[in-house]
Amino acid sequence: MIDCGGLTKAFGEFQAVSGVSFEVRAGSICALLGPNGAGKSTLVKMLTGLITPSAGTAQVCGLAVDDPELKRIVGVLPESLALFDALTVAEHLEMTGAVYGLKSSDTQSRIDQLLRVLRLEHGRNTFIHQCSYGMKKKTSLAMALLPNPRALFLDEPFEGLDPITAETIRVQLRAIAQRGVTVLLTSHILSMVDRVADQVVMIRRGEVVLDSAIRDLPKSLEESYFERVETITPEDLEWLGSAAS
Amino acid sequence: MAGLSGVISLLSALGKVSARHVRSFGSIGGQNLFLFVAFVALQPESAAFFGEILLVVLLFPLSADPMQALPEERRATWPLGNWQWAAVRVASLFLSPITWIGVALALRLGWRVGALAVGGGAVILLLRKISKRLPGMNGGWLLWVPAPPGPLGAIMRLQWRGMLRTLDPYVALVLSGSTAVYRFSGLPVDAEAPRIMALVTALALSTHAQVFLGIDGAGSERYLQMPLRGWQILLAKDLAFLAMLMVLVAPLDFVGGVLAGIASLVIGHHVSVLNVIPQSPWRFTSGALIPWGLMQTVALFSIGNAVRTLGLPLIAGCLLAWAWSVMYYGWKWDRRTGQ
Repeated sequence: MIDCGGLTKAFGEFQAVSGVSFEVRAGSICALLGPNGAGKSTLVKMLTGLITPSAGTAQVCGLAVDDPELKRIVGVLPESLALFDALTVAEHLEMTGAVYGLKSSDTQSRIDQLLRVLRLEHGRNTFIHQCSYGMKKKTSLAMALLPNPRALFLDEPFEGLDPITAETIRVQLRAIAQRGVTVLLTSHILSMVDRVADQVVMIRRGEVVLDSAIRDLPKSLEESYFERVETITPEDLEWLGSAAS
Repeated sequence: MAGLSGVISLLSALGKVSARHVRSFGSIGGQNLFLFVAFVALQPESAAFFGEILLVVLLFPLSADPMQALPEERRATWPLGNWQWAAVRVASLFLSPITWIGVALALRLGWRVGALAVGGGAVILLLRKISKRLPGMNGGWLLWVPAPPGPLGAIMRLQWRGMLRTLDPYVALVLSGSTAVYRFSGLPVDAEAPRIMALVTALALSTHAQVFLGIDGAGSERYLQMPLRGWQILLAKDLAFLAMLMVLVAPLDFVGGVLAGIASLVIGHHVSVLNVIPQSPWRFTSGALIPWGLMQTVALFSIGNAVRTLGLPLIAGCLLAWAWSVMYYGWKWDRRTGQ
């Protein structure tokens, strides 16, 4: 499970996250929603021990976020993807297996399965700098899954993927959550969140503005979302289309 | 006129890209060997040898086709006719840095030298185009770099790959290889020359000790997610660095060269861990020349020279300093989390 209380992160004068508290049950999928710059990625980085909170506490599967052992039990799909240009897709996964102490034969069989499920077999020996964005996203996701983590933190797992792969990932996430893995993900694709998540936590300007089970929302997820974000009337680019008329 | 303005706009954009490409080679100013060459250049004829080596290695990345800056998919969407593209193609040849280097060399050293540089560049460009059409050749040779077993082995392979995607090891290879060939050819050699060249070879590689995170680019964030301690990652990278150096200095002066490498690691860890300097592939690595590069250079030459007279106590001292540096900066590495 994930439990955070009063989590705050300030970068100088700017408060990226302010006193965020919420809890995610073991074996459930929580979607962290909010517009760009709301503080979602900063929150994920604090929960995975990548940055230290300015205030507040957080635990993942009973371990404090500054416990070095935390890295052994969580899988992370970071916002930056964090991949090495000098390695191929398969070599990233081999490195992950080696670093987490998996047996070489186990690593290879898991790599074969993951590449097949994520439809990435054709790119197995492609260097990362030659990969498309979707291939990079799948590689980083496979690295998060390969060590068989107890908790998963996925920053925008569906963005940039084809619909079939996105659906495959949704089904896989539901399956592993049923086996007890806790999943926290961020996404802007509300239709996908609606179908995969058990719980939504919405952040605006670093503060929680909604924390609810999906089934308890009084309105649709989309309506609930737009009620809580600032909407803007886009400026009319009147010159666009003048050539056609 | 509209067509001509399109050609001029494209050439102007290509010119800017080409100028940025050339400026990116300014990274050589942060390479420790540059400091040494600048010092040697006080006596110009002594620096000529190193200058030629640098030019030969630079010929490869400088021989890029300026038209590569325009992706084919993008070219196909632009409303330019055949004659306009032909004009851009011909004019772009004069935007290639290798053309200007050839002209400069022709004016300074005669047309034969200029033609040699341009011809060399053209051959490299041709080979590059051919290799792109061969399966597995597009960077595929890097796949031959093996991974030793275990978690540190995986990091070592990554470090070797990163190093081989910069120009430094190739300068070190030419320095070491040319000296070794000369040494074993039977020609008279100064007794001190192999040792000095082993130290210069170590110097050519030493900037890497300052950029362990910088060469990994976006991937450097991955280390923070790995269940490894900082000292383990640092040790793996050190071992990879030393293994490459061992191969290079083996035909010259093994002990002196390796100790010089250890000295550069002890000092370089500070910059590698506390001041991440981003690097570009297929360029010289660029570190903090003053004071760290200078300190590396002094330490490297002092220890590499003193080992003959001081022997085992100096070797033991170096190994102790290295162990301390790995542990201390490994601890600092762990504390990077949270910045």
